Amino acid sequence: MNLVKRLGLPRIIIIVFFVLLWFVAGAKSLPVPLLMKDSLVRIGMNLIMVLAMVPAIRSGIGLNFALPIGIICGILGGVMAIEFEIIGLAGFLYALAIAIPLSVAFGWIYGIMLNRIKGSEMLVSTYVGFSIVSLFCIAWIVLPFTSDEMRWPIGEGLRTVVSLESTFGGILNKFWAIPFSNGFIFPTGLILFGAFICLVYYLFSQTRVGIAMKTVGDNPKFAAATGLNVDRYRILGTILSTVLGAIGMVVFAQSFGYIQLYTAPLMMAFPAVAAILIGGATAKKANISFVIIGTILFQGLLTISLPVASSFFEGGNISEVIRMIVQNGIILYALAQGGGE
Amino acid sequence: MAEKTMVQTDQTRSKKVLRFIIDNSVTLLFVIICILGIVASKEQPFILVSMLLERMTRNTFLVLALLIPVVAGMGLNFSITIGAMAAQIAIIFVAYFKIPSVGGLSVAFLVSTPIALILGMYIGKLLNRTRGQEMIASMITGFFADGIYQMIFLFMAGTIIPMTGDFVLSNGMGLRNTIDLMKDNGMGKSMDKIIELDFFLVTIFFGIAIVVYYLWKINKDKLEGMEKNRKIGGVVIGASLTIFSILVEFTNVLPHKYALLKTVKMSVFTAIVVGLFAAFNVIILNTKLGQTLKTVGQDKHIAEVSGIKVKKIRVLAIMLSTLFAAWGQIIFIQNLGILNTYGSHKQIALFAVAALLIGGASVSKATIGQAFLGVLLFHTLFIVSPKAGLNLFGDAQLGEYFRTFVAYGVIGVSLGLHAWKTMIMKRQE
Amino acid sequence: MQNEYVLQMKDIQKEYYGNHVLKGINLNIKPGEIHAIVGENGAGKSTLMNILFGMRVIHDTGGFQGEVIIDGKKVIAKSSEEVMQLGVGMVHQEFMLIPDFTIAENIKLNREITKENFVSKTFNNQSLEFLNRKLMNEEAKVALDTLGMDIKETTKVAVLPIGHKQFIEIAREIDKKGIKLLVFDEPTAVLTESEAENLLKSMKVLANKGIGILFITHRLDEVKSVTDNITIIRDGEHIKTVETTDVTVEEIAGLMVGRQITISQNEDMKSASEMDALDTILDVKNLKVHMPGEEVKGIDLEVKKGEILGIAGLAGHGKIGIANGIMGLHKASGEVKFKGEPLAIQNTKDSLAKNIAFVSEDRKGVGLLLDGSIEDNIMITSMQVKRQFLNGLGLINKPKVRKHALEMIEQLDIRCTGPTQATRRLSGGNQQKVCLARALTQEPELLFVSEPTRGIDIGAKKLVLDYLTMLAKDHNVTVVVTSSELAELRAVCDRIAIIAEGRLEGILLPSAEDVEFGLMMSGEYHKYKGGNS
Repeated sequence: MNLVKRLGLPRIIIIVFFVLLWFVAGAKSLPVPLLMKDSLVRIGMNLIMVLAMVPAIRSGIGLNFALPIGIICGILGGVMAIEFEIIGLAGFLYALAIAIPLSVAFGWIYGIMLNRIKGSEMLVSTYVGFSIVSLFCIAWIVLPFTSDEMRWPIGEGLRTVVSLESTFGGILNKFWAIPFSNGFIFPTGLILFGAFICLVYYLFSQTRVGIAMKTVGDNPKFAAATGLNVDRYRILGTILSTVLGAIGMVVFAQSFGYIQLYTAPLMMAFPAVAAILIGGATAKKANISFVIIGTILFQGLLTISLPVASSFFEGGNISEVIRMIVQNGIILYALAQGGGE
Repeated sequence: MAEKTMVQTDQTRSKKVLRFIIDNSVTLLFVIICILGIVASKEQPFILVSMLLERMTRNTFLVLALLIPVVAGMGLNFSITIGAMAAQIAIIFVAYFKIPSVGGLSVAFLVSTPIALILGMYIGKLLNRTRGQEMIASMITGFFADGIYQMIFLFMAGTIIPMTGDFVLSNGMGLRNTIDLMKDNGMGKSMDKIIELDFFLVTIFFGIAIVVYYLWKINKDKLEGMEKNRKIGGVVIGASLTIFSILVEFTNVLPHKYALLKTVKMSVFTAIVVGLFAAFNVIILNTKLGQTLKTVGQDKHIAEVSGIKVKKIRVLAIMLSTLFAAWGQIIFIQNLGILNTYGSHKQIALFAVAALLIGGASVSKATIGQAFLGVLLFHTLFIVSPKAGLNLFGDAQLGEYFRTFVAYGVIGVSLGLHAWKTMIMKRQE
Repeated sequence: MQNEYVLQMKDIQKEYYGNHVLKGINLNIKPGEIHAIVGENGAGKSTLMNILFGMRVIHDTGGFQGEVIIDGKKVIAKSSEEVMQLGVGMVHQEFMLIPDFTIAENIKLNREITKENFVSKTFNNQSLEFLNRKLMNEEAKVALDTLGMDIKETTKVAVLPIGHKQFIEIAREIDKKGIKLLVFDEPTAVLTESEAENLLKSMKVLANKGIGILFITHRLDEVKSVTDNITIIRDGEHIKTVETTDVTVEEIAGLMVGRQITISQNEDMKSASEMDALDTILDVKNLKVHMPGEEVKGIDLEVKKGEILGIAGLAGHGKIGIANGIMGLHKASGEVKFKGEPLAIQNTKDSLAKNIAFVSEDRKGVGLLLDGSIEDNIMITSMQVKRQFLNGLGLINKPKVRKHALEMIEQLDIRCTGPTQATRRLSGGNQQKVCLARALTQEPELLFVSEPTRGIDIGAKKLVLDYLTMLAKDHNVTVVVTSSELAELRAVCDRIAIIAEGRLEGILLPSAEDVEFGLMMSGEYHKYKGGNS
């Protein structure tokens, strides 16, 4: 009973449903080991972007719907690596080396803006995110990239989808990967890297600065009375969130093998938001365990539901529809819990 | 929150001008962008004007549907998408049963009404639970409902919902992607065709109406001096419009480049419907209901203390908005003549909100004038962007991306400015 | 039918969870009578009004005893609407006005006059009727004329000065048909002198029309000038009801304050000469604080090293603002010197670093991280300001935090399930102890404590007060206590500063006469005694 209360009924329902789906998959003779591998990969590649929600929530700016800002920085890093043809692990690190400083800068500016609109962060951030993505749609056409791999053969600008095969695609996933006989492959590099980032963030949260940031988010008046500069810590939270978004995108792209430009990043904040909410977070409360549980549930659910649903409904892109319903339903549910001006 | 009326002190002329520019910065910026865009696109005047006219007639109703929730203090109702979906359900119904022309149109209005009202009620109740975050909740609700809508038409049409024939895809499941409403004397353009006249014929009548109105006002109120002069100015404007229109319509006075303009047509009936709806929005504010909506929008607490059932009024506001969005979508689709089953409703919330904000409205205040102006500016940009992009940068796609960027950007900036002002006002209390 | 009394409240008693807030109040108001209720903070005035208006908070906490009789009819109201239907109106302190609406629209809020139209008749719905602005404006004008207000009823409320807004509030009440009793709750608090005069004049006008007026105020000269009768309440007890003409301002003041002997006197209280010999640790000049509801309008104060200084005054007069302003929690200006050096009062961090600690009156809002554990709450300020409780790597030193928390729990007798319990779960008194523990962890030289015993039980009260006394005596910590409970201050402090209307009215020794305290708190001291303290 206590467990039910702690986890909350909706979460229990989803966990039960999730486990059930695996049994159904087995019953329908779907290739479970392969599906497990896919789940693990999807969890690994999304984990850091979900983690990006934590500093945002903790510093008091709520769910970071402007994650696309960090994502664009990550994309820029990746695109630069392709442009300068830096391959392998070096390419991956190079992408990060570009993405992180960019995301610090953008995050800082964005953080200053957020301090001016306290109380309406979530709504405005959504449209800021959309605007930046749209702006970069123009940028991808106009910026002077020269790489033949990325440009359209005729006409201006970069292609919609750009391959990472020649640079650092799959670099983490394949790193120390452990193949099993039944087809299941454990993507060691990916999981290790994700765990590493989580560990680094955990250590940060135990420092004085990390505790200060959490204090600011928990109760700004209390924080002010403790001598903390509320605005500065909010900016810090925004920067961290943006940086994690950028790192998360580079990891995502290498796992996916492609970088999607133009309008693809528009909605990328929403799955991350839904994941952390399903993990137990609210707009005011978040921690690393919520991130891990949420990403496992959300991405795992999406991975398993497509084949199972397809085995019932032949044809049709039902996974996309299910994703829309589940993802937005979760966010809506969370919003309906806490009213508060 | 109420936008505080500024106390009129001794403000010099220049200060007033500065104030005007700041308050209307978004709109003014847009006017400039539009002018630049028109010039850059080198678009033919005939095409520009007729497309603009068509777009204004078919889109304004939807934008007006946003007004009531703003008055009721619920901000911008991004969930009008759901009203559009209700309309589309009705249109699919009409098209499936091949109900022709105006009859089909009427049935569409009839069928969409209860659907929209019921959905609106649920949305309203949901938004009441998310007090303080209504706008983002309405946005997510729109996405969520879209998912359900897709579920229904992708998987239940033809299977659980018994539909047959060429409406359903070949494997027996899922509604077809596009539905041609012009076929078989369908409801496509049925409203538009009820009265269709030359644009300049209409302006003749309009001009005469203005003249009559101002003459009547002068006579009735027996005005003198300054007041009278102003009204006489109005008479002059009306008269010149009439004369100009007569010239254009019946002679070839226009220079060659603009000559085609005299053949621009206007869907008068649709325009009248839109005009009536605009008038409705004004009139309703003068009723007790309107006053109650305004009170709730100005200060929920005071409204509650005065005995108003705030929660119910908010639900009502959303119900009305959803209903009007449904009707607006029917007008929109009938003009397009074709229904994109899975996509026609997708961007309407974004575009309607952007248009309203470009017209100068804000989260807490919106008028019909702003709605009209916003639609005019927004759709001008829409029309000229691809060609302008092509002429300036050699890429039409660039122009399209630019207009999407502008739509998002306008909303972001407008919301941001409003939030900023709210924060400053709260600090001053 | 004219009853003898328009309002009677007979033997009203109310308890909140064992705490007797009202112990038998009697009130009788005749039509046309202006009756004042006078009393300190916490005397019970707001509770009495809540009972009269049938507020939910009364029902939800066990109701009340006694009878409320409005115009001859016994009433047990379940909502304020019910009471208002019976002809009782309330003019609030915070205006319930909508700035963007006209005066007439505000007066007629949710009672608008309408006229039918085609649509409303078809659907038989009153909501669809048009507003009859002409009639609304006319009736609004009548109300304004009654109050002698010469303003167009079509003016928007936003442009009006505060004094006028007060009148619109009144106009709204008298526009309601059948108004028999009007309650004014501290109406002159925000008005200028001339506006206040106008208000009192209009009160008389209304009274002459037969409307009963209940006037809650602390301004004794206003009481003397317009009222017929005065009821004095103290600590929930009905002290006396007198005819205004039979009593002087000093007598009223004395009755308001009284003396309580439940808390033992501080034997180590310093004498006046001992006080003069001490150094000044904090020198405050011309302190102004913009704290909504507790404005400080210019205060000069010297705090002596090692003393316990009390700051007293009525609610809303600024006493709370002083500590908040000095610590930088609200906008403030003025020159403050700590141990001879200038103190940047807007810089909270700086003050904390200099060993000045602060316990806020807003325990839950400012004083605690409600979802945080006891131990986290205790250590946080010292960690952030003095970099304590960190290990060599810069990470939180959890064992040290735990150890310290356990020590504080024992020292202050904090009743809890353990140091990891969320402070939300603690009782008010124990929450207060956690706040105190946090301040003490800083090892302060100067400690500001605001409302230390508000809402906590007798046992905890004693402990907290004893602890403060001990701090000053044994550790030479200077303590500045701001409190609404004058009796407690008189029991522990060496001196008590009294703030009225945002200014320092005077400083008294605890042993001073009740009358002096009463007069100072009403702001009447200088009028009646003259000179400085």
